[in-house]
Amino acid sequence: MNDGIKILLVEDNPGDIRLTREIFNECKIHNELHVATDGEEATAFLRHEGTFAGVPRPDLILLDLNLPRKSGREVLMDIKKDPDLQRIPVVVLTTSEAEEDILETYNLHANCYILKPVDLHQFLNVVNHIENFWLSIVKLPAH
Amino acid sequence: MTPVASSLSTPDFQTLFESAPGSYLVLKPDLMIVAVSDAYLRATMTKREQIIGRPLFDVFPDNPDDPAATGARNLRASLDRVLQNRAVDTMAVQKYDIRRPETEGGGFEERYWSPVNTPVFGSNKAIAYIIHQVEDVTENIRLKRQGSEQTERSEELARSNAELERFAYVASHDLQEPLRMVASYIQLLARRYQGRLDEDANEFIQFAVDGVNRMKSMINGLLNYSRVGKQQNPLKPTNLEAVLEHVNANLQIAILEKNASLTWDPLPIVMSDPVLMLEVFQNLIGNALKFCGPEPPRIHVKVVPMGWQWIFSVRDNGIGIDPKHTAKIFELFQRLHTVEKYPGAGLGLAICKKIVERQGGRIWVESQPNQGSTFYFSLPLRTLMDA
Repeated sequence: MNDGIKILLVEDNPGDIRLTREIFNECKIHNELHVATDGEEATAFLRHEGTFAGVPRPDLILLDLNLPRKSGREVLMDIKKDPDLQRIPVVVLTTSEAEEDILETYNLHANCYILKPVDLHQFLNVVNHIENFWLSIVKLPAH
Repeated sequence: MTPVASSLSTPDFQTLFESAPGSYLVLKPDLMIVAVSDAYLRATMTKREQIIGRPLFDVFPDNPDDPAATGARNLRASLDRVLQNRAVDTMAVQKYDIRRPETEGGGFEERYWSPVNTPVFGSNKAIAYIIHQVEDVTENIRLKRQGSEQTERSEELARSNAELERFAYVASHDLQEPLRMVASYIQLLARRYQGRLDEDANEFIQFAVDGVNRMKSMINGLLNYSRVGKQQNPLKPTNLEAVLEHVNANLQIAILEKNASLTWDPLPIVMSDPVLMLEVFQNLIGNALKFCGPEPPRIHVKVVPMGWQWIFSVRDNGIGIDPKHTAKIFELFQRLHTVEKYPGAGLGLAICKKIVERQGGRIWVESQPNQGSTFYFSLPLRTLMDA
């Protein structure tokens, strides 16, 4: 039963949050965008803790690496260690091209590593990829 | 046995002493000057008749303009020690300035000496004389001082450069985020309100977008520039023919588009960093392609060994450069043309200069307007032993 894709965006920059919202509003696939503005909030959201008791389980997580308090890397580690959350695809968004970041991310088994674009068209491409990605995984049997 | 007639007359010891190749001053125990060698006179700019029979420190006082002068005091102490201990006393290197003759302007001149004071015993075992022998070490001290000044200057320069590089890196890195905001939202505006804005608004947005693109290009360029040499990879044998093949491949599209020809003489293997050499040649050859004239670009690379250097040259038949601009073009962001005519942020040559100079070379250009340009750069001839 599929009423669109539920996305958790973990991002602290309000400009980037708004941009993401605007882009996903134009997205062909119906979607619900939830936002956590730091690593602690993200973990609470995923564990349905506190104010996040009734939130849906996201189908996709967009994760920025550079977050205040708990870092994106720690959030990623938490997700991959938790058997409940492990299978949620994670797309890591970051401005850092540093190889270390890339390697670390792959060692932590993110599904995808995307360089935050300086350019709107690149962001649109990212969304395209996510749409295609979603369309492809929708074909898999439900967990 | 026949007595051997002495046909040797007693040597003229006075002349011998005065002409001896050493700077000697002979003192009585009361520090009166009784004899002096010519060399000493020359070293101290004095005349024999001026100093014989006079007290030592009357003739050679400390420089009154030097508040830190300790020469006279130290010499007196040393001579006292000689008299006391009845033994040689060697002094540490001393600053002891000497008087300049009035005929040559008067005043004092800086001097450094290495003195040794030796007692001479008379027949009654008392000290008859003290020989004050000196060596003028002023030149040595000056050279050492220059050397350490130079070292200090280069350390200062290195620190300053490191700071500037860090600044460039941090500035360009941190500028990326606000730049991203400006770029993305202007583009979003343009997209969202496409066709719903008047002509003026469209133009304004276009100017803004162009500005952002140029800023992006400059910031990326600055980041690249500041990253050059950050890694300090160890030098290794670098096959420059392979590097040129690489450049040729990278620039193929432009080469084909412009019907250009890129050729090179046999190139050596040098001790360098292949990534950096690729950057240098790609920038120079890329420029040659970009700044071409009406004819298809013909670019040739050659090398000439000269003394202890390789001199590389990249020659083109492009639009050339006015000689009065040839120094400026190697500076950051300096461009001679508008961006519309020839795109680019103005960093390529600055990057080449940085890379070449870091390896101990120089870069320069010979050119005339409309007569093409030849860019030269040198690299020290290093053997595998130097790595």
